[in-house]
Amino acid sequence: MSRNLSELDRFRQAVLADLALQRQLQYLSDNERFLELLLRLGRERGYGFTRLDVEEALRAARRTWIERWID
Amino acid sequence: MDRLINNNLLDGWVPSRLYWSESQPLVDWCHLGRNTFSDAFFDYTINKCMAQPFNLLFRHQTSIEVLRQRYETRPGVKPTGFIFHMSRSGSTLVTRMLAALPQNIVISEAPPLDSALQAHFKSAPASGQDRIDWLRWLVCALAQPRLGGEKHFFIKFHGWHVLELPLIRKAFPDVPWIFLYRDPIDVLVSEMEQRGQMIPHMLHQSLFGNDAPLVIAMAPEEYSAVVLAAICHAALTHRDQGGLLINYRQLPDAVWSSISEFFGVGWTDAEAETMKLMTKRHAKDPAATFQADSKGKYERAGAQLIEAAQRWLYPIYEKLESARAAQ
Repeated sequence: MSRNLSELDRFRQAVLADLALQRQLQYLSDNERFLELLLRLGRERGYGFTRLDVEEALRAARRTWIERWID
Repeated sequence: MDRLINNNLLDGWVPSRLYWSESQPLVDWCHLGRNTFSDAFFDYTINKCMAQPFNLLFRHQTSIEVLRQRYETRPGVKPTGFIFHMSRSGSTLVTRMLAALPQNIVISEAPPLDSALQAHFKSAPASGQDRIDWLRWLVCALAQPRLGGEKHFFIKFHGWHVLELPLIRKAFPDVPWIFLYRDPIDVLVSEMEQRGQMIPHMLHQSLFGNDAPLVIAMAPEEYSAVVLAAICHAALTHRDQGGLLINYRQLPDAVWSSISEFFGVGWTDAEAETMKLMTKRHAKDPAATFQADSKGKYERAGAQLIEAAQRWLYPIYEKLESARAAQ
């Protein structure tokens, strides 16, 4: 895992522990707007992840969800 | 990762998956947002949620202990009634009609409940008491009101879950249940034309006891007939313990009459009309119009299918009909 991805993971944990941050992100169905806001919120809080890191994480999450039936 | 969590952080989230990692049961939680469980199946709603980028990127993953904490602090709506079925026998229509009313929470074939019920087949098998506890905790997590006015809570189980009725009754001894069944040829033709739950190896072979090798080697028609017969036998055996038998032919009227009466719920005329509107749609595909599909099935049934139905299913079907007449 790259340093930036671990930065993204740290930010994900921070969001999961912060209801106000979640509310800003939860109802955005447009991928681009979601990405832009996520990057801005991360940057404002000093996290060093990039757009590519988020896109890679989204791809991995889609794969995990689809493969959930495989034990 | 800390698998425990501040309870408040899970309000508005539902357990979307129960699974095992290094022999430990874990729960994935999905933020339901403004969605309610109004789709034909639990997974349709969860898939809709998972199309949101937020849900892809953010999921709580907790120990099963967190479910217990929520069970103790957020009881939710007490289950009103359980729906078991032979499969292909109108259960989705029943749940769609109930889900048309905002005061009803309706959960349909939720995989986390299936995982809890099948937890004794895992490499680190769960005890009967574990399965009872986990089932109670999961049901409670799914029973949380989302709109504010929810009063009733219905759960439609997978077809084979009726085989687990004794355990489900231990977890919920006071909850009434119905069993929906249908003419065996109608059910078998549907199964063969659109294979669902009756694919060999989908069900754990221990369900068939010593006959497992023979059953698994059977032709698809006969295998399905044997599984369906086991399901019907379980419903018949336990019907005196809080059960009501409903034939597909009684639908949809039974939903706002005998089923509602049995579950102890009543509807206004306007609510009954809202439910009736759902009968004009195909239960599993709301974009399509519902049409009773029994006609033509006999013509489409091959000789092997008819033989399997006659050998394995019609005897138990007749017993169900006799028991229903005596209700």
